Amino acid sequence: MPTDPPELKTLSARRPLYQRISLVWLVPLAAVVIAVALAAQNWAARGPLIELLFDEATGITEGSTELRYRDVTVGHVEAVEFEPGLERVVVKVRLNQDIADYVDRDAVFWVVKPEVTTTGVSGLNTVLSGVYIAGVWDADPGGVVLRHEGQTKAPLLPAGDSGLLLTLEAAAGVALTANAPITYKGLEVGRVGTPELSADRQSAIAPAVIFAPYDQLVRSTTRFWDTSGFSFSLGASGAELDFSSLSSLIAGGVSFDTVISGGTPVSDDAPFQVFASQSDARQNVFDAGRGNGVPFSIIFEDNVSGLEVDAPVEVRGLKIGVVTGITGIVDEARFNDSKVRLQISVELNPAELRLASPNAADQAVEEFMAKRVQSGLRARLVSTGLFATGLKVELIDVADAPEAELVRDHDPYPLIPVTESVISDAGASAEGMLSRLGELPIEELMQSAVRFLDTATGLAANTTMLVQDDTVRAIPADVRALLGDVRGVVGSAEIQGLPGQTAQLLTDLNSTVTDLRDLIAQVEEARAIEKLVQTVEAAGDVAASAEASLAGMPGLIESLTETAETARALPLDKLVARVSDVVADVETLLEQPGTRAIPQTLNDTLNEMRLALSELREGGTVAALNDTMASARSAATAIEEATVDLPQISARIDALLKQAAATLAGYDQGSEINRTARSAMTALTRAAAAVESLARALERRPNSLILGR
Amino acid sequence: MMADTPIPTTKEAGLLGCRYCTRVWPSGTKTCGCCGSKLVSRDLQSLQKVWAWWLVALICYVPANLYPMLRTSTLGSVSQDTIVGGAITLAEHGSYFVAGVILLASVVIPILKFLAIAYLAISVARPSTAREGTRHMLFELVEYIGRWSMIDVFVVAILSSLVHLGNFASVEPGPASLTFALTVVFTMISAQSFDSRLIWDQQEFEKDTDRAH
Repeated sequence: MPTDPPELKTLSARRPLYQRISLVWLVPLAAVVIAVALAAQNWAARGPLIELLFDEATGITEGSTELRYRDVTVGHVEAVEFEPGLERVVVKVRLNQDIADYVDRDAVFWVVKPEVTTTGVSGLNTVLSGVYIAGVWDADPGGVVLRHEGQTKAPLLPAGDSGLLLTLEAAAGVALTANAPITYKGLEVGRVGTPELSADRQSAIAPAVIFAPYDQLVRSTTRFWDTSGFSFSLGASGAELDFSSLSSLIAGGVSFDTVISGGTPVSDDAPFQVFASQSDARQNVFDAGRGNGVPFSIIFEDNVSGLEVDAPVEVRGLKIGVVTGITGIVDEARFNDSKVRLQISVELNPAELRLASPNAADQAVEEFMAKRVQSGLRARLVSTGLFATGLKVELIDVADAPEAELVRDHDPYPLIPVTESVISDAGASAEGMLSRLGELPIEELMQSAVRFLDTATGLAANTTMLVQDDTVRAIPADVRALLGDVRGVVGSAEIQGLPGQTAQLLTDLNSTVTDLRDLIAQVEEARAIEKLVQTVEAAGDVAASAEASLAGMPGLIESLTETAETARALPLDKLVARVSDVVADVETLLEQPGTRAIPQTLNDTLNEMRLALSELREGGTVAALNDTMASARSAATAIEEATVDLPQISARIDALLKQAAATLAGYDQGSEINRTARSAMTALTRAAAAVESLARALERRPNSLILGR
Repeated sequence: MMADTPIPTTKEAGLLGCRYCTRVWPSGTKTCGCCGSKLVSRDLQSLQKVWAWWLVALICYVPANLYPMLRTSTLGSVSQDTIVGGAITLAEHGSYFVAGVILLASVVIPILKFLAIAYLAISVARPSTAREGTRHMLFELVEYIGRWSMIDVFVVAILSSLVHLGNFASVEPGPASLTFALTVVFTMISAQSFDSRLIWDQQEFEKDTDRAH
């Protein structure tokens, strides 16, 4: 039996701990350390959780919606919850640690989402990526504020940007559009915010911003106006469609300009009014703006048509306010009757009164008015002008006014006492003047003038006939003298000595001879032919002496001879006699009282007109043309009809003068008759010219008779 | 429990087998003359290694499930999905098969692997009733299937390298893809650290106990 092998002693040696524990345990240890370190680091880097309150959380999703500052992601939405009461949405945003300190009280948050408005498309990138929350804050760390009100829109002037914030107030008829551009000379320099009702619910106000550096353009004297929409006018110059730009037509817009230089720089949130048009804005530049006015009431005894809302309230021609309302009032208790009275409300502008600062308290203006009323200030209605039928309210100091007080407790506004109104009756007097003018015997005057001139023409015709009469005797002697002169000239040493001048002389001679021929044709039957022949022969001698130097002379001499021979046959004596008669007749004509009277009559006419015009002016007839135009027109028509004859008159005078001139041409210049006739003719010419110019003037501007210009 | 044909172990035969090249050496040899690896009859620290790597893998598995696996940005919109979230999204869109594959490969298998390794490690340290062959099968299964868990990581890697269309579409691996890959790697190391010969030793111990009775 084999013995069992000895039991193998296996001693389990107790090995030290470091040998029994594997080094591999370091790996999980390292993993734990890394994990803990990462977690700790993450925790440390975690920014604060801020709450943003919005009305709605359109498109905001937990976990993925970002908070961006200048388009850099600085946080994520962690949760979207409701406020207790479900009124609003609380969006919890985990901020990045590094930015948290800047998110202080002035931080503004809004949701950026795609928007298509009339002014353009914005937030297009959010169509695909989803909305994000944008935030702005300034660069001064002020400690994180954990709860913020979210805005619905981006702020007009983000914190950190420079610009000028204004408050725009819409005047009547102006619609402010959110996001509308503000332009300055066509340049976009600002933007209008969202309009809302003013505190007193009287107008719409909107914040607006003018970006730097254009904010320097806005001064206290700057005026804003609405450029949206278009204006259409149909007038004498044709139809006119006016709008500043297509975009402002659709989107609206506001423009501004500093109408008068000076002014002071404005502070933030300064109020400005937006006027309906540029002209309104300019007109209003001296106004401190409506709404600053202090209201008063005035009660007039009668209703007077012509007074309108916006009619001016003036003191000695200076506009200090406007009429804001007109109502009728029946107050039996106060007036002891049931008559309807005219109660108007006016607003007096303290700035125009130059009382104190433009913002003088209503109380101060009231005090001032009360004092002035005690010393005689009264209100009255006055016509606005000579032509217009409108009325205005005038405040005037009446020296001996009955005692009156400013009724302070009058409803609705303090009552200013009135005095007698001055409403000119200009229309009636103007009409009377014009009808008197229309009744002036201008036509008869003209007719008689025409008649007179007709007879004058007949007279002139007689005169021409008389020239051919036998009794014209003085002429041969004159002709002889004339020929003697000619001879003297021809025989002068200058002509003989200067052959060069001979040609000129001959030309003159030729024309003289032509004239002579005409004359001689008329005096064919004259008896003094022989003398004429002698003269002509003498002229022929002169011509013969000139023949040596000039070749063309014989022809001339021949014609002269011919002329002389024709002249011989003339009945010159008859002609001379006739001329004498004509002159006598003309003289008698000129001595006739009728002729003398012509200039006088015209003068009188003009004087009458002048008188009428001065009367017109004195009477203030230039007023109320709409009433009196009809009669003025009829008067003008009468004048026009009359003036139709005037050119005729002047034409006849002209013709007469020509005939007279032709007749008198043959006379010696020195003759007495001639002189008289000439002066008469000059007078006639002047008269004719005066009539003609009057006719022309009347034709051109019939109303000049009325206006006196 | 008795084996019908008991197979002698190297230890019983006074021999020493190499775990890597399976060559058998006489007892007492320190290093394998074939492949140069260290020769030990039984790796006494094997269980410690298993547990250590198992723990690291588990630590990595936590962020792998909490953090997004993929960041997909399409036209500016970024979407991030965790493993489970992605599978749910796919299932919501009707892709039940793909969702099932992802759930199986990325959730079920890793968890089963954790459980299997833990079970094996416990079973060799404590008295167990499980059959020796079953446990060997389990070990082989864990070793074999472990690598397939990397399929998720591969999908992420391929997608992110293929889809680079700038702003239109891009896919980037999320932090979970890294930790998930680490989980897979660490579980594999953990499984490899397990000295399967320990299963036999327990068998012998039981046999000895039986003989003693």
